[in-house]
Amino acid sequence: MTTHHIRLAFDLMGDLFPDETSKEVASYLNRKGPLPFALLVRDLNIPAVNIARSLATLAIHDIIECHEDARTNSKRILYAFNLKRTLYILHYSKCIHCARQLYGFDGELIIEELLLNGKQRMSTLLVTVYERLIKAGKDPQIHSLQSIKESFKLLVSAQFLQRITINETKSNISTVVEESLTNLVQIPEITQEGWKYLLSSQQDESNEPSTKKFKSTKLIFGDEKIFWKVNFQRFFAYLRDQELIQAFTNRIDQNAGEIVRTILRLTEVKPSPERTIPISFIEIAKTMATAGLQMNEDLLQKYINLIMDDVNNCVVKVGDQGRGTYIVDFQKALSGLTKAHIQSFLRERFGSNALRIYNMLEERGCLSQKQIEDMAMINAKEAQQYVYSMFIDGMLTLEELSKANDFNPTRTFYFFRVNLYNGVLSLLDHSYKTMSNLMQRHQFERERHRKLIDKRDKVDAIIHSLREQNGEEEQIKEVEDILSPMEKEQIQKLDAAFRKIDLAQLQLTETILLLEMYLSISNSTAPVQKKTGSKAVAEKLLETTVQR
Amino acid sequence: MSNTHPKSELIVPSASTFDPINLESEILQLCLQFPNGVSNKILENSFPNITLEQRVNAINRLLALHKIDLLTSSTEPGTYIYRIRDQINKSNSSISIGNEITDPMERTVYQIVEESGNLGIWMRDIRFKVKLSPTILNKILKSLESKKLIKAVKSVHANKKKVYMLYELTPDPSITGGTWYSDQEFEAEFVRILNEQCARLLDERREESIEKFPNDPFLQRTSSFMSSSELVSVINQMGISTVTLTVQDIESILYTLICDGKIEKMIVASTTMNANGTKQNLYKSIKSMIDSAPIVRNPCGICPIFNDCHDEGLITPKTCIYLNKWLNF
Ligand code: SF4
Repeated sequence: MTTHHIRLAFDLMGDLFPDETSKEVASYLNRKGPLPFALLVRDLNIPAVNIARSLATLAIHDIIECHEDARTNSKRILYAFNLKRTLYILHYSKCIHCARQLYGFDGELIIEELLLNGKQRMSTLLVTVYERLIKAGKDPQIHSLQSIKESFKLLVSAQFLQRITINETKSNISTVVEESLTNLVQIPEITQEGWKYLLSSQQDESNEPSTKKFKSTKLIFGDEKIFWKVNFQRFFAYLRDQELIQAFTNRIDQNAGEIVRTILRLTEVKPSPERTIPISFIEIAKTMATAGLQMNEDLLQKYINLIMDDVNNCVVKVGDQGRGTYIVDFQKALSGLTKAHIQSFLRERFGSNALRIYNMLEERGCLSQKQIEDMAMINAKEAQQYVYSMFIDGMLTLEELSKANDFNPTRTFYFFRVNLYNGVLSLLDHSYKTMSNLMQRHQFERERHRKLIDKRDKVDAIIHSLREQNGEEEQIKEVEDILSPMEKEQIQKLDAAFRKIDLAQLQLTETILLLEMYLSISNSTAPVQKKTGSKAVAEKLLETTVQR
Repeated sequence: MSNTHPKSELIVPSASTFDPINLESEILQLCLQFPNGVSNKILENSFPNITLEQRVNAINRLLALHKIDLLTSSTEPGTYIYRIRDQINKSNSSISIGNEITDPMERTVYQIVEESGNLGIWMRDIRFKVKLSPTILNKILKSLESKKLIKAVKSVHANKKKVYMLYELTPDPSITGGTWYSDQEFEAEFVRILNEQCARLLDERREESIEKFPNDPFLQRTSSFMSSSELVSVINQMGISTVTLTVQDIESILYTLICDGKIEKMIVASTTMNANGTKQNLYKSIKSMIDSAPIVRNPCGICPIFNDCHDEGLITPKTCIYLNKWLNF
């Protein structure tokens, strides 16, 4: 974790939890590591109630985790800050977007509510979503509690939601238990009377929020101890699959993309981060046919053969049953995709010649400066520049091999080498900083034009209410004119700029997600150790001769 | 070059009735009489009792020793003439170049240079071998150079490094750098153009094959391959290059294209195209997996001063001109 990660994490937190206390508590915990409540109260100059409140909120969001102190046998509870989880905030908008595409407006709102509130019971969730739907002017005929529940069910069965229960066996800490697979997809039955109550509140379309009402009456809904949260891993897997499909579409064509989509969909709900379950040719063909894609088996086989040869060979044939069974190896897929991102980054940032050198190093293992110049077929001086700027950016690693052990430069070989893991770390850091920069700029512009934005919001509000009351056009026009043409123009410009920033950020999360997933899946492949000394020289020379 | 070796080596054992050396020197004498060249006819008339085979042998020998040149006749098209080569030798009619050196030191140095062949030899290495002082050695080399017996060639590897070799030799590609160098300068532009042309040819081939087989992905793929020899002949026909490029030349260009991520290579056992059973390298243009990484679609991704950009200070996202431009402010 670099400073850029941390910075960004707190910026993101600031957006979601605007109160200062949360940020302060989190950043203190980040600096000091896990702490008990008492110490927090002592060290921070904040009332204990406030600290407790923000700890509670953050814990619901899993941003702060609490666990028993393992070292001492006392029953102290330690609070720890989870930076990784905080950075998931980046992907909220992607998750919401994805829910809308898959499950429509209902799905979108369910996910959004859960993201905003961390964990919730189904009954509460249904009601809030329903209210928001009605408020947004949706037709109550189409969107009813029942329909929302259906969407909820779908989300659960596709494992986009995760079921958790409160374990109360331990007295002083209520741990949440993530349930085993079998229970995961079970939806709690809402008691008859509870459901009736919910329905009745649906009928009287009163403006006052019904949540308040059923809090006061102690109704039993039957799902008191069952909470739900968003299953990020599932969303991430889905987003990764989309990238993979896109990659195949770009490389081969639309049909290939569809085939990969089918394979991934068939293997969707038995997730392992490394590979899918095997899927047979017959199954693929069947699903393709039911999905209405015209393709005879001959052609399909041809496509599959091509697919196996592409995108880092991530689709692998594992057996012959059912006319061939296939799996998708995500480790390969992710490293292929990551490589593509790094390559594109290098090409744009340093020029295509730099990319050439990078790829060459990747293929040949390690090369000295001289070898690079000869093979890349560019001017020696230029080649030097590219190598060093990539080296400074952490894309290349340098190996020094001394003939003697004194590392005298004249008697030392210098080899450059590509290490994907290091490259990913460097690109990730770059991405986080870029993200942070964009956010800063966004913030800054908002502050700078605060007055103007406020004014516009006010005008919009007035116009909105006038419309509601069927105000006259003339009146509306008058209100609109409160903003001078100059101001209007500026607002437009500002809006366009904000949209641009938002879009860039949204796209950037794709890269970040891929890189993070790559890192998490390839944890075992830590960067190679630098070998030195004369023995290593011998090895190195052997290595290069073999490669020639 | 074997012109300082004893003459006996040159004798062809099969010829017993005539002395080949004699014939050679006689031919040379003849050439000296006709500085503008001797045609086959003159030769025939001058040596009526020599067989055609013997004459051809002698001429080939002389050609191999660089004593004479083979030229096409300007007066009678289609016939060849032989002309004496070395202007120095014309005056003293010696057939051996090395023999003419009288100074023993020069002779030794000449021999050392000769041994180094077309790779050439450093002045420093000469000095180690002959143990002469640099000034004297320099003088000797100068004198040999002025007699056009040896020449100095600049190596592409280091600008100041000169190597010496016999005057009539063509330096080894490793010294001159081969096709891609002219006057010891790397021709980046030339390489770039070839690189682009190859990419274009392969791209076109790919598009053609997609058009040709819209419904067969497999054929689309296989027919977008081009072999390196095919590419060489097309490129040579285009006349981009003044020299004729070899397959190796193009393959090294294609290697750069592979590293550029634009094409891929497949090695197959040769088909009917050239049936000598060797491996053949096939190339095909490919598309990238992603259009562009999202990070390069905003200024920070490609910002040259990225590492100097901080929250506060002169370079900061708040006032950054790159962002200003991007956001139309
Ligand atoms: S904010 Fe501007 S100066 Fe800073 S990294 Fe981005 S483009 Fe570069």
